[in-house]
Amino acid sequence: MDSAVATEKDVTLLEVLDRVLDKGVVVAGDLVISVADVDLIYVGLRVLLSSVETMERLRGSPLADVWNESTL
Amino acid sequence: MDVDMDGEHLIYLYCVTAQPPDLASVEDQPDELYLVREAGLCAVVSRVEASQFEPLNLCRHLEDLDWVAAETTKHERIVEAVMRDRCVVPFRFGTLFHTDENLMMQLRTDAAPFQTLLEHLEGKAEWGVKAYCNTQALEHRIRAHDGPVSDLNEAIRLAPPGRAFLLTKKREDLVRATLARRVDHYAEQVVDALQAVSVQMRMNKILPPGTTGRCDIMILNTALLVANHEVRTIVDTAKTLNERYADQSIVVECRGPWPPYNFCDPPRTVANG
Repeated sequence: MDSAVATEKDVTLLEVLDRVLDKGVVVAGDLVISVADVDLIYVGLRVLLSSVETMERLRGSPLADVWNESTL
Repeated sequence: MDVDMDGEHLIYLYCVTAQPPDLASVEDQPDELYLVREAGLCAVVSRVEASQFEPLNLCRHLEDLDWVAAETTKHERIVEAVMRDRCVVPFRFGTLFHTDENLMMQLRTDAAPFQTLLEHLEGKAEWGVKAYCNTQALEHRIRAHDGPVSDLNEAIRLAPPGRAFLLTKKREDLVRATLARRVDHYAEQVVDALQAVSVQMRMNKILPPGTTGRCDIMILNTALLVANHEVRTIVDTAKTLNERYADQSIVVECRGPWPPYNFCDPPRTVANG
């Protein structure tokens, strides 16, 4: 990874949800959770996002501390 | 493992790599991570409480934002930690197996496509570029500066009341059409510029206002697969676009690197893909 771009980024929970719930490999495993109504979660998210929504984190550096400090 | 057959635990799959990652580097492991190795692939997994994912409990959990936030964040954090020194194929939230053996069977079945995917993704990462438009400000600008709109303003000023009413209606239609055309134009310009510097590009759906926590309207939501040596270029391109369109009330944001969630065309999909 280009360490020159290890700049501070704001990543919203929405962006995480958009990928983790909606993208990524789906295999015919024993059980795959179908989050059919992701939109519903988004609607609920408005409440969350309009308050203290942003998770600050430093890309390219150990992320864990930043995640832990998040207000989630 | 026999212990997994007790029905109390499930195997949760986060991601697959070619070379074994250093799991000790994943800080603050909420569940003990371990590797399931098969067919030249390493699956990063943990044992989770089966009860959490039972249909009834799961339905309740999915309505609980705190649970969803904590679990998806955990998933993402683990995949990102592995991604620091390994090329990863990230799996969707909640990919579960009853036993390690079942997972190994899956890895054997999909070994070839996963190997191909890992080769393709090597040395690349996903970046997200989104564009937003403050449509009110842009509309204001169109009303004030757009040539044909200004002409109509002048015509309305000079027209008798009846005709002015019709011209006003015409002007409002024109403002709306101009706004839509400009937004499309800027989005296209951004897409063209990004396409030139990415390996692959995927257009994602526009997230509705109110979910983004922003006042402006999302007009473009892209995922880009970018070679790691081109990261500076993509970041600079987004920055340049942001500056170029700032006075048109357009904001261009670049976020990354992400695990390549958008670029893992699955070997086999299930219906909800």
